[in-house]
Amino acid sequence: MEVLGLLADGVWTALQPENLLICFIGVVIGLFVGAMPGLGSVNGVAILLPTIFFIKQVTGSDAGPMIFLAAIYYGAMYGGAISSIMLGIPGASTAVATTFDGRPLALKGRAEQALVTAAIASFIGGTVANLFFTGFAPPLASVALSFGNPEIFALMLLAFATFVGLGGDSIPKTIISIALGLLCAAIGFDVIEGEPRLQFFTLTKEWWETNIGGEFFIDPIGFSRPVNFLVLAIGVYGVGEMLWTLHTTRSDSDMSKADVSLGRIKTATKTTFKEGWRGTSIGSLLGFFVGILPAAGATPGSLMAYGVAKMTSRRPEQFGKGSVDGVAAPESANNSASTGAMLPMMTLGIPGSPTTAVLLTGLVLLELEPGPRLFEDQPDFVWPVIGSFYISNFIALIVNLAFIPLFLWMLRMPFTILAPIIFILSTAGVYAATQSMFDVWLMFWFGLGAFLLRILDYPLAPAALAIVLGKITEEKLRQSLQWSDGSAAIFFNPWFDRTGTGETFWIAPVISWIAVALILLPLFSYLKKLMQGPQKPAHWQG
Amino acid sequence: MKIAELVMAVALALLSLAIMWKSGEAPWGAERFSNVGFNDSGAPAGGFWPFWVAMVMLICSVWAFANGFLAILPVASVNDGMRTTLIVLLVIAAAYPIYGVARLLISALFGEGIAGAEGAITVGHAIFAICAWLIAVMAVFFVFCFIFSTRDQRGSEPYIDRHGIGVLLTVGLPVFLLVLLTETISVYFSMALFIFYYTLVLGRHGPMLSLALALVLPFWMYLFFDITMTTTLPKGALALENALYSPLGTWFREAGGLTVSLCFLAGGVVLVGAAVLSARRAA
Repeated sequence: MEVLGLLADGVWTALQPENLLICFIGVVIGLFVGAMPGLGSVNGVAILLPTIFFIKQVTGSDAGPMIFLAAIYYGAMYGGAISSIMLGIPGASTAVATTFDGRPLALKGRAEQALVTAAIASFIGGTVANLFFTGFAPPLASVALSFGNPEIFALMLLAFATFVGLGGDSIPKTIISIALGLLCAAIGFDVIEGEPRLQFFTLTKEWWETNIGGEFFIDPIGFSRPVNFLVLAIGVYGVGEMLWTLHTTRSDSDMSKADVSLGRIKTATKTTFKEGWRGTSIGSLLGFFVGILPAAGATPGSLMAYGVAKMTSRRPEQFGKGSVDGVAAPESANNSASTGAMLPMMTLGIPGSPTTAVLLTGLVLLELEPGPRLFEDQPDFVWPVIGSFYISNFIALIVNLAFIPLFLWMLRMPFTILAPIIFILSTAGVYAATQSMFDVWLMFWFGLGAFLLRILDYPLAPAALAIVLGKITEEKLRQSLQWSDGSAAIFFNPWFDRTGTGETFWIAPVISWIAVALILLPLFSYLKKLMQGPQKPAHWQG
Repeated sequence: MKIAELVMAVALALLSLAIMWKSGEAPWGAERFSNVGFNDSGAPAGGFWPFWVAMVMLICSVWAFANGFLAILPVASVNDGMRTTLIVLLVIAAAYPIYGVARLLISALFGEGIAGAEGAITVGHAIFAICAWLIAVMAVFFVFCFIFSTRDQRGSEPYIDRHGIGVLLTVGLPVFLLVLLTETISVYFSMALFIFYYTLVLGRHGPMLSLALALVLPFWMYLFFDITMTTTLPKGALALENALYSPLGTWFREAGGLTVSLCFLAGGVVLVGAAVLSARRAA
């Protein structure tokens, strides 16, 4: 009951005109970035992250900026479907599964049916997930409050293990990506003893200045602190992703025509409820739980929902030829998963997807400490944000249905105008957030590196997550080991006597062993596949 | 493409090795690699985390390399001659670690132990040496793969095709210049040049629309970042800042919010006008 009261307060705060306006703007931006091929929720949120200072300045609350970012996330989940259906190109990786049936429907001349089904399924998926979120978040946060250092480290281990075990990409490449993120976060000073480390080029600079003379062309001062997450995220998802999109998109495709009169929308809505209820329910439920897993997020969520909907359907032969269920399942799942991914982010401080990693950085930039204490210490922040999830979802539905013609018009915006805007926003955004040219250069090199790695199917989402979790992972590992005099048993053995009173601790060992199992499971199937030849991994971002 | 996979794995392994070396740089003049293990109180020291994470990364690079290698030369395709060559090459590559392990054993058995005494080899040194050797082995396999694989096995698909190189040269290089020029001619002029180039040359949008975009977008950015958000972006050379940006900033701040909004709208009008005119000309 207490939760309902807090939620009602939160929704009320989110309904205040300024928050409503922020929500609306966020949703529209989200719909746009979601719909534009090559831009997804993560690019949109990462590039616009620096604007949170401005929003905080205007609204005077911490909730405003977060409402804005979350609204972009939601909007993007809706928007992705528009280009999947109308162009046959997924607007974001989260909408890949929507093309399977959305495009055939559009080609049959029923584009409006696909658009309406996508919007309604998204709304139901999002709302169901919000209800789950509201129910699960407070108890999870209160359990997490009792977590000590070993438990938190075990959770981090689990987050990385899910990436390795369930990410679907090549295992060594995933681990390399994680390691790169962790190392970027370790640059500067050691978190416990304050000793300098990994300060690249300091010795080279000394050597250069004594032996060659003149100023060395790299100023190593930039390596006296960890690489800022934003620099990596904008480098990878702004510059790198843009180069990648320009590299892979070689020709424009034809846009289908959609008749979006009120009458057609009404009929399409009826059809959605009649033919798409099964897909919507599957997507809403499955999406949420897949979204919670740190490695998963909206893309695998929607793909899985599509698979399950097809498997359990009475007419599986219609899938791929324009089934309403086939549009409803992935669309409800990607919205549901995006809310699911928020759950570990808000309650445990572990992002469930790259986009929530950016949101987590947003929390840190707003000087809020993510994790279970957030619910205890900042109810004025948490509940309006949760309330705004409901509101954003509703606004996204309305805006989506009302402005379909506008979005179709916007999709005609040439990529040759959008791309330079993204590049200049990336440059300006990084400088505005860090006030350092060194970081702008770093962003550029990260972008280039990401592009080169991407060609070889190296997943980059794990790096984005690892750079966020790097500091806390190391800190908790070292503090735990200090506690146990260097014994790793503190993570794996429930009878390990950490307090000296003979008390047993089950949570950390259980989580750690699940993590180990997750890492080992694919190893077995991997060995099997190794005998059969190489496989092509799938990419995801949302 | 398949060879690029191997090259990338070797490059990442070298990067890991460099990071391991750098992690072992103990502060305050302590011996190298003395900080990658546990300190006196039993807890990991400062270099512990990056050193072992980098080692894991190196091992995974070897793993990725092995995957890439097997994709080119599956086990089944290796004949006796190839096998003999490989063994000879591996024995040559193994000389160094055998020497290292022997030294480590000698120092452990007869010296001052392996834990960091003066002149002795530490565990960090040993791990580093083994990792360096792994890279040598990768190099051996790389050469081997290059000699014995056929063109078909390596695959004809290039790592970056002509189009990809085009993207790097026509987009990547200008982005590099965008960042480079930021420090001399200020971020806004740099942006203007970039947008003008991109829309005119790559987008073929016509000079009028390109010019309008190049003028209005940076102006909007200026109004947003410098005036509204009061976050200063790089203003380039000092002379430019004094001559242009300082008076402009003062003027906008004195003029107030309404003028700023009007300027913002005026930019929109210019853009729409240019878009309409160029659409009409195209028709």
